[in-house]
Amino acid sequence: MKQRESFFHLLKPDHLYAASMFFAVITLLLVSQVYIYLYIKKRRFRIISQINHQINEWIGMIISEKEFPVIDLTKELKLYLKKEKNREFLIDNLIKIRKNLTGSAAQSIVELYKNLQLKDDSIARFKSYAWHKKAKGIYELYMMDQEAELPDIYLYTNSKNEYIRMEAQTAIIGFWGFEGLTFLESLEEPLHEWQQLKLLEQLSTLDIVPLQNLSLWLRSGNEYVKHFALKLTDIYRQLDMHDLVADCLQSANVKIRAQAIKSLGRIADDSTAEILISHYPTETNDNKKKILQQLATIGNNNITSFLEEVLKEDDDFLKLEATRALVAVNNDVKILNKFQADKTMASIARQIQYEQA
Amino acid sequence: MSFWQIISNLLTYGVFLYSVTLLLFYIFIGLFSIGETRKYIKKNILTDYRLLASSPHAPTVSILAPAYNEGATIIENVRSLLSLYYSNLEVVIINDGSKDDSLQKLIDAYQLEKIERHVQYIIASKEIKGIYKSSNPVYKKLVVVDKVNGGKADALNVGINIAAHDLIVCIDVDCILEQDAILKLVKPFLEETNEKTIASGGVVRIANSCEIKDGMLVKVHLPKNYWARMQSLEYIRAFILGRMAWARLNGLLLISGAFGAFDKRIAIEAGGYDHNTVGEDMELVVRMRRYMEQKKIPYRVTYVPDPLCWTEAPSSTKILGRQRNRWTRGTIETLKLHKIMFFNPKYRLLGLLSYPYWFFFEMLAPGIEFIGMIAFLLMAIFNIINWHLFLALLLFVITFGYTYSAFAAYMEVTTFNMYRRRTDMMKLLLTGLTEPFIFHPFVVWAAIKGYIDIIRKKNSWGEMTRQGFNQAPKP
Repeated sequence: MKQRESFFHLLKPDHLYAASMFFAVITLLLVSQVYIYLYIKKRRFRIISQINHQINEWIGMIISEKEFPVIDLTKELKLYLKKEKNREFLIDNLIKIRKNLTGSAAQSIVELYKNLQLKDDSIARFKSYAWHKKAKGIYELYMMDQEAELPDIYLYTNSKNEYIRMEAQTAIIGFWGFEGLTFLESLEEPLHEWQQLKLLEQLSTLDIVPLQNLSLWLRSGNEYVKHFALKLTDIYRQLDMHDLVADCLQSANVKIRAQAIKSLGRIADDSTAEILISHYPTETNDNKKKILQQLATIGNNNITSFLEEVLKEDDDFLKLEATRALVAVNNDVKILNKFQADKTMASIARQIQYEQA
Repeated sequence: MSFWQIISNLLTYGVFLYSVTLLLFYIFIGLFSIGETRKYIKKNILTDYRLLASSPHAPTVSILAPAYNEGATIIENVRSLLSLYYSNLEVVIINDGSKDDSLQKLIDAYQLEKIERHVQYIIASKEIKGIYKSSNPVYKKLVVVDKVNGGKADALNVGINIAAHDLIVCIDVDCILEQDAILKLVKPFLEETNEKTIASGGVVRIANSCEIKDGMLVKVHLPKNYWARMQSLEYIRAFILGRMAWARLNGLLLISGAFGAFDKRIAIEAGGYDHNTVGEDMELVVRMRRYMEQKKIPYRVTYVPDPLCWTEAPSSTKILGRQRNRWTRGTIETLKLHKIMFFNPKYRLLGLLSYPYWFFFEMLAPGIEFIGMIAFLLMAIFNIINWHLFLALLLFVITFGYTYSAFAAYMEVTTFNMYRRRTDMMKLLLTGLTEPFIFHPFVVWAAIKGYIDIIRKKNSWGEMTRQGFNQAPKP
């Protein structure tokens, strides 16, 4: 009993009441913050509506008048635009509108951005030490065609911060197109698949130009660059890169090998089927499947015996792909008839017959 | 010191130490989640998800949706899934031996015909009776699998065996997904660098009383029903604070079965879903993590805090009790299956922090709370402690709970802000005031019943009747 008393002697009710009071005060503060935040948000909504209304008026003026109109700001709007947050909202909205416009209408939005001296805000963000502000600054400058800032932006294409790096790379490709890919030569940081996808989508809207340094990128020490270069080889069918792509099959990186297999299928020559077949035994099952898919499109009946060997493997997916390839390279669905004795093969054959029908 | 004194001391000091540690964990989780949530918002502000939706270079995704006796809503649910904003998509509906007319309804509505398809049972599962695809190209993304009934885990395993794509998204068929849900869930897989992303979880929110039209969420309302409203607050706390903090640590053990994406290859190599547990969602994540640890492959389990998936929460004590009972059994079963990781340094953070946290503060919490409460009551009655101290301790715990809930509400409002009406927030906070007296004791009791069912080796899911979403309030 004494032990417990000594324990509870340390834990006095007054201490607990004090702590409870502390938590109650914190709770009240948090609840009041919730309501203050909701109030501010509601008030902001009104301001935002007015800014939006003004933007719509400006757009109407710009479209209806031949010359760029004189932009007058109402007293109220001037007051609103003194706040950085409101100016940021204005820039965001101008960017949204610009994305949906082309030609002179889009250029007028850029003029409006400059006219309202919003570039200063974008520059200030770009110069900021906070990564998210810097990234946003780059984005705004790029979306508003501020090409003069490009040399400074280029310096960030190899930034340690992935978000700054991504925006800088996007900006460079946005301005320079395929020529902008030169940043790949000095890139030491990762270029993950999301960014690769973004860049490929950007490039897909442009006319292809000779990719002078593709061979350099395919030999890059940066595996992400190599992976991206393999995708470029595949999409833009860079036939003269065949040997370098085949070298990539020796990479320790499974993603690079997978992309190399796919790219080889697209730029195949007479030696490709043999290269893939000799590489086949060393591959993972996923990549074996990819090899068989490529062989189905580039192979001929000379690879029949190899495909028949694959049918002896345990993996049904490999058997399925090998059977598909057998039908394709022999151009004869009747070849499936000989598989009726084996239950698995008969099931695979039925699937392929269904697909071919 | 007598035996009873030792027991009493152990109980007193034990419960006190436990409570202090739990409290510190909550403070840590709350604070740790702030940075991660803010970072997520900042980093995604410039993301244009439209790129991913239409790009031919986007990863291919198979949605796996098991359905059992969902005939009343299956057509709408499938339509909603088919309208998701993602082009490289396959929607696999697994009819888990429904006794109603779900399959026939799907066949009629989507012009399905039986196809020949070879299935390799890479993961053991019940037999497939037929695979159907639509003859109408409009529904080319849809695959319907008809199988012998085997439960949710078995149906998902069939889905994994059938899935044609590299990423699988496992969902409850009656969930409402946001249009961009797949885009947001898939992005972390594309952002992997030196750590492989093996799974990505999404936030699940309560859809009771929300306005749903054509399988899409039109307007968010706070649930009118007390139990559902209370769960809204509970989900905000769990998803915005808890999971966000664990994701930052790369220590997440649970991705909700209602909505999660997985790397199919890793899921298969880890053995797929275990159909011997009622907590198959948690078990798969733990097993995939354990597999990666054993293989010594760097990996991540990520988490997307955007509200992407809306589900109907139980609105009666009967169904809620069954659900919490099942969750408790699922947690116990999962932790028991992977007990080798308990404080095992070989499993690094997983063994030294995630597993022990779940063991002490998720699995044991209801039991300790229940025993502790009874013990303190008895001690107060027998004057071992005075009532004054007992009440002060109770007040302390309750006010801390309020602070934590208020903090969650603050985080919700300043981040995703789904309940925009001030009256909704007021109702939510006022409902929170009742939690220590009504909701919390109820869920503790349901969990205790889960313990009892585990001891009695009861292994059923318990029927989860839903009321459906057609109860939108008048505007």
